[in-house]
Amino acid sequence: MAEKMRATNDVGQTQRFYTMAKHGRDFWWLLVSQLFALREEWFWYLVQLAFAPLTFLIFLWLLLGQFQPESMVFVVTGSLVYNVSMGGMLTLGQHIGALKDYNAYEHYAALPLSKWVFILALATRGIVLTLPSALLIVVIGVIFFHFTPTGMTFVILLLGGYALSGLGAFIGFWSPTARVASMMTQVLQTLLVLLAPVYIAFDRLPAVLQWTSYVTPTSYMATALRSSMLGKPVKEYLLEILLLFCFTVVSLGLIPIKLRWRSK
Amino acid sequence: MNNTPVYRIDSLTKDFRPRGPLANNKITLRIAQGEIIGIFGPNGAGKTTLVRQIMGLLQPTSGTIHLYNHDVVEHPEIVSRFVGYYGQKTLALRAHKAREVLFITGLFRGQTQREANEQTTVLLERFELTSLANRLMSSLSGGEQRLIALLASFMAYSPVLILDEPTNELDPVRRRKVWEYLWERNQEHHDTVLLVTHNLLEAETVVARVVLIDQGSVQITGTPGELKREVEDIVRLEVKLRDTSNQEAIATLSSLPASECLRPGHWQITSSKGEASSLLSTVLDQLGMDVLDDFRLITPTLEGVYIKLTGKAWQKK
Repeated sequence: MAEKMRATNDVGQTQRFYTMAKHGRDFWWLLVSQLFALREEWFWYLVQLAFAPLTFLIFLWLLLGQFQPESMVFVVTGSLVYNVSMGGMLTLGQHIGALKDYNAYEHYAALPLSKWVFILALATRGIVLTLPSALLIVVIGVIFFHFTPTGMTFVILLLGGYALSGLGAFIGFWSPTARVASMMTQVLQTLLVLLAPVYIAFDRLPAVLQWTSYVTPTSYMATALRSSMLGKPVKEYLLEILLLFCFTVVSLGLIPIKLRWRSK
Repeated sequence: MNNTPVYRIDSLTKDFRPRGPLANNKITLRIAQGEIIGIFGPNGAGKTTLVRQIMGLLQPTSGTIHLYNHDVVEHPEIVSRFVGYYGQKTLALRAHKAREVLFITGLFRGQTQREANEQTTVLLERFELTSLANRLMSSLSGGEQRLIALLASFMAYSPVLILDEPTNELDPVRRRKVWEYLWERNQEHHDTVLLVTHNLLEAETVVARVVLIDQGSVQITGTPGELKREVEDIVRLEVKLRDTSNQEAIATLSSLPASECLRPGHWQITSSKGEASSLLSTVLDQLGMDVLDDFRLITPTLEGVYIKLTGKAWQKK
């Protein structure tokens, strides 16, 4: 009896191993497949993802930073959050909406692919596309404003990207067309970046926005980025990192459960 | 062919109201392993809605669908493990090379890289697309893109193929290659093929069973032979006049029973099979070969079956 159970467990473990191996391979090829878009449009992705955050950075430096250098940590990290929210949420939502419009989405839905792996690959695509422009903003912060980013800065960027991706995926799947997905993600991004303690300190926000900022991942991402860019010890922003991790788990683990592959 | 049901569909109903009429109305169907089944019907008959539901891509309003005894309504994700699917809309993986579309689809379907590579090469060679293998999908014509997407559905030799209008936009040579390939897959691997097509004349050469759908319901089902026997006493003589304004010829044709002017100079006369030779003699004797540009006698086809059973002209709907 015991031997039979052990044999059954072995079969189960082998099957789980192959399932995990397939998920891993599917993730890699989905990501590669998604990044093929760079062949034709890499320049435009770079422009799209870098243009708005860099413009904001320059604009706020002209408006504020020249006279209040201490505010530049908000400006630089705010632009990083803006940048990652574009890659992680905005372009993901728009991309899923476009996949539906182009029928490529049905192509994937008809293949034996896990919904989680599909969303993880799409989210990673957004983050990979964001990296060059994020790196550019970090370099500007180092050269012109003497910030001292650490390895944790990049961990926060990754966690923030994944934490926001669930929202983008939700909008992309939920929207009836790519156009609606595009409008919705732009509205949400504006709220998450401009009406949260991202470019602005928490205590300068009205009470209502202070309360809403507790449920927005961008708040924790901005706080953690400011601390890491100023070279503070990790323990000072460990809570923010843990909360970002929780948002990531919800975003990639739980939101896909509610997402529908299939039409009603 | 055995009778093991691949698909068991019972009372399948899809209601899009108030956006539209009942798209599928209590459709009940059995599809056996190794069967090539053709689903025909006019535009808007509910064929694609049926296919999308049995693919698990669209949730039914009511009814049940079982694939190899798995409940598709409850577990739509199960379908992709067994079924290769080609949808009606054009696949737009614009930034992929043609070879990559096939290769990666094979990998997703569980093939090793070597297997996927080999089948990709075989398919591209068979359909004479090797020269396009490394071109981006965005640079291919609409027909070429559709053919690549169709070939992707053949990857990994799924035991069931569901193909929604697979030969649309393909040239005659490639259409023939597709039908030959499907026939071979069916004969060699005992694969089940479900076809939705408007191309009755071509599909007729491969399908083993026909399902006619109209207004969301199955009108009739049977082998092509069985259905043709429904209209076997009818033949059609199509006549094309050299001079479309030849009044004498027009009067002669008008006087024949069951004659119909399809368009100026183009007539159709139907008769029973037994009267076909006398009809042909009458037309040739009374008009003479000089008056005719062309003529042909058409025996029963699935198209004829459709016209008789639904009482509508296939192309006119």
